[in-house]
Amino acid sequence: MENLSYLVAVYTIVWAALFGYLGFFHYRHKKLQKDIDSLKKEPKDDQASEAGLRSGRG
Amino acid sequence: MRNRIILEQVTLWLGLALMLAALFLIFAYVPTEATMGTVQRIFYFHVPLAWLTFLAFFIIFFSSVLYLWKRQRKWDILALSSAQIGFIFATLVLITGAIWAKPAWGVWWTWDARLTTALVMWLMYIAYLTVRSLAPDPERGARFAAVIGIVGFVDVPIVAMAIVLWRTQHPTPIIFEGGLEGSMLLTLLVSLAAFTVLFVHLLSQRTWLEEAQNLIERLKANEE
Repeated sequence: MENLSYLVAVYTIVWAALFGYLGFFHYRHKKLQKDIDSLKKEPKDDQASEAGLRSGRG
Repeated sequence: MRNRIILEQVTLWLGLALMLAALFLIFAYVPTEATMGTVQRIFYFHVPLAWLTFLAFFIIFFSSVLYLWKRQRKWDILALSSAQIGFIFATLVLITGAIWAKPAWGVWWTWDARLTTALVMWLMYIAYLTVRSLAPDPERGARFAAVIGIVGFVDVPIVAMAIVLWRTQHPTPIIFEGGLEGSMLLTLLVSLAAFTVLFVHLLSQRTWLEEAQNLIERLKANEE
């Protein structure tokens, strides 16, 4: 089993890179979902404030 | 949208199942190669990574041609996504190759034809990705990148054929010459399938992220 450290190094690096990249996707996905949620929320806030103004609650 | 979710789920779970099967074959089934010993098992990760580096560049080439022809953003997104994943695979090919070269040849790196052309391809990936940030506007950056994607593809057949065209230290293509023992060929094919399915998964995820990012930017721009 000579040179085993080289084999371990290769498999560790490849797996770390693949999982790291998948983790990056997960992070970006969460960030985009947050942006989408805030964009969805903004028109509602506008509508709510408009409704509030119309009913005299502004 | 529904088809994409199904594709992502299928490719993720199928890719992971194939990867587990490949790991079992690599460490518990395939015999140790007589000359190089256990370090030869790097081959079952190194070759699929190299194949995907070529495939990713082919997708860049194909999408870049379609982008310059049709000027549809979706082709640029596909090319950019493929370039980012291809860059990671190309980096891993160089790293795994260097780690394999040390015990096999006694050096981490040598300027032979195969290694040098592979390094040029890695630089092409960097050029494709960086030219966008240097361009004055995104539209022009996408066009410059598409030109690099098309011109850079010339290097792919040169990398593939380097071991036949020149005398190199890199092993000759034993897979196509039928020099690979049955169990080794099976292990390589399962590993190739695993990495290819995971590549499709990553590409689908990456294109979705880019499309979603574009949509959000457009919505924000409309609000302002």
